Amino acid sequence: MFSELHLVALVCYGLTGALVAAPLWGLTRAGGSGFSFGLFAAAVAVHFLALLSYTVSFGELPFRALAAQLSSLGFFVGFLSLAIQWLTRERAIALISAPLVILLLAGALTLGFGAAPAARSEGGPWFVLHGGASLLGLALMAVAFAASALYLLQHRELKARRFGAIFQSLPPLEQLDRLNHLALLLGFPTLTLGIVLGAAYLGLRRAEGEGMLVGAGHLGWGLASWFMLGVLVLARAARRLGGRQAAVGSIVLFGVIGLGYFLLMLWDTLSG
Amino acid sequence: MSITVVGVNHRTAPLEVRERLYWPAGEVAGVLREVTSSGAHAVLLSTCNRTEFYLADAVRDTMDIIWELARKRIRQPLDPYVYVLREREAVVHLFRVAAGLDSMVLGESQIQGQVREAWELARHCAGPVLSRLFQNALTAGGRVRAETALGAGAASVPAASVEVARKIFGDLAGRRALILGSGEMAELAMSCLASEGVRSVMVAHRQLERAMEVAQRLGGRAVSFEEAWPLFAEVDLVVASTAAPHAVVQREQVAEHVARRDGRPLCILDIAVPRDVDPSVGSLENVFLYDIDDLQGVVAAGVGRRRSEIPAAERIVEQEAGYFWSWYTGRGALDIIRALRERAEEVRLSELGHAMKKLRGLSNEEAAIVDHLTRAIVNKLLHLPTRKLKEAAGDGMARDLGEAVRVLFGLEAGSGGGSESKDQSEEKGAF
Repeated sequence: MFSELHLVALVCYGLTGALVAAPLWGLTRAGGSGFSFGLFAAAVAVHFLALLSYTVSFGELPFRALAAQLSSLGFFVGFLSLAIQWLTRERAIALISAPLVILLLAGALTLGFGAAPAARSEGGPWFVLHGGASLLGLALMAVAFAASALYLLQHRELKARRFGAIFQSLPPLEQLDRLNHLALLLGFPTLTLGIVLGAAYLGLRRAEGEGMLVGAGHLGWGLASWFMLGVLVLARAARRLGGRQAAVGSIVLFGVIGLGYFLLMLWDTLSG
Repeated sequence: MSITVVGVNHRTAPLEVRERLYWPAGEVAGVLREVTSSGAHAVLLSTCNRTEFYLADAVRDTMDIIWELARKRIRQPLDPYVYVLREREAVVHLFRVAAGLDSMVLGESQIQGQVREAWELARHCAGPVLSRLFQNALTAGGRVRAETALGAGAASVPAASVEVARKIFGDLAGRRALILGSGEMAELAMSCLASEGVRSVMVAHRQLERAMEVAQRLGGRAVSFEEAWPLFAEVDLVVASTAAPHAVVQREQVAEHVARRDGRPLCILDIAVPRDVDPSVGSLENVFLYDIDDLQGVVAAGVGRRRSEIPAAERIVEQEAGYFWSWYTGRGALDIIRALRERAEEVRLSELGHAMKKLRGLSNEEAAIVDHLTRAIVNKLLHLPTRKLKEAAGDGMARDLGEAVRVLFGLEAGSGGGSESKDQSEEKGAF
């Protein structure tokens, strides 16, 4: 059931992305933003139902297996993107967030939801909170990535003095810069919380006599991500970075952390 | 009952005629008093690009008054410049005007406010038909602006300046600007930016007195050219429009100040010809430099987008005009039905009176039966025409049918059809 719902959500995200991108290629005139917003909202709602269905089926939140994590991350990105569209009345964020969510959902579907998680949720609430906070932190970094990509696009158009469809469709530079900054500012404490909760969970498990539950790579990735994000946030707060450098920094950071996370989880999954 | 518009606009009259026919708001009441002394209802829409009288129930006297008023102001006959539109054509015209489809700058939004102001100034003499007409026209204008992109994109260089600045900063409220020089275009652009909330305007000019003049007009402060360069570290916008024959802003003059901006963007609008700002300034980090050609490019793109929205806007105008026309003609149909029934009742009572004189000796009961019989015949005969008129009113087609009924049954002129007043004004409109 949740696979089918995921497919429906994926199609809705795809249609939204196509609707928002069409004016950029001159395929349709600008407008119909209400419809694309409605479709995006429908995609997020169906995605939520899919995750709810997963939770009911397996009796645990979708934060543990890699497929479930990818889908949850996609949901957080979709939900945040929807909230941004609603608050700013700008639809352009979907240009990046919709393909990103599609990629995450496609990855989740490819890895498969079919089999029940190997081990039942031995993690308890600490693990759930750790997973939730970490994924939300990653989603906020994805939002920063989306805002930064749009920033660089609009920056290029403005510098090149091109006043076509891209210039018209994308939000103002400073708005995108503020969104990038805000996403990083919220992402840093959220990721910090995720790491702290993860450490608390590991500490509890060790106190109960369990061995080391995660590898050095996992720990290293978490701390390195936290450190890199912290450096970017600090540099921004100290006004060491202009809008363009901050955008480039967010894109590189998301690429490194996102790719590292995916490879790490894939390694864990493949090695059982 | 009839609707007529008499007017001149930017397409039919040159500026010298339009400016003489412009009545400021303070004079509108007096003009309307004169025009409505003929018994007509009237609204006067007077802007720099058009002067139009919207009339309901206009008669020949109404047109004579308007012609006389115009002749006095332009000191020549009005005929070569005027247009007269009637009924549905007049209705669609006002709806197009309110939507910005008839404006010199396609889709400009100022006209919506001017139409509203014209109606508000004439509320006491607009009458029910014109009041409804103007309310519906404003609705049509609002819908066109909300549902199409007819008003989107810049249509002039000052508007293009605003559009570009908004794409960099978003909200312009509280932004600081520096003006170099005192060109007219720079002042216009600055006025547009100020209307978007740009504050703290500083004006730099080689002659400080001239800078003070411009600064006073814009509510800013004057600075010398030497004081202007450090301001590149502080302001958000620079509008350059000097009469210098060479670039006055060189990269080396401003680079160090721009570097102190902490990465904040700086928008430079160089609208001088020849250019005031060396193009290499545009390659500085976070500096966005646009010259007059770039801004003309924004205008061209904006106008192109607006033109592509015309069909969608025309569809809305046609739809809203249709709603008004249904109401308007339906209103006439009810008058016709009332007149038709009154006429039939008049005939019935007259004929019944004659018959009763000949049928003496009828009991009250028998007299009531005869009365009922005549009433029933009249009702049966009028049922179908009444129903058809009501149906036609719903479809907005009652006007022709009502006119036919009025002629066939010899109903009084003005009872719904309004053809007499139309005929009377037609003569004047044939100029």
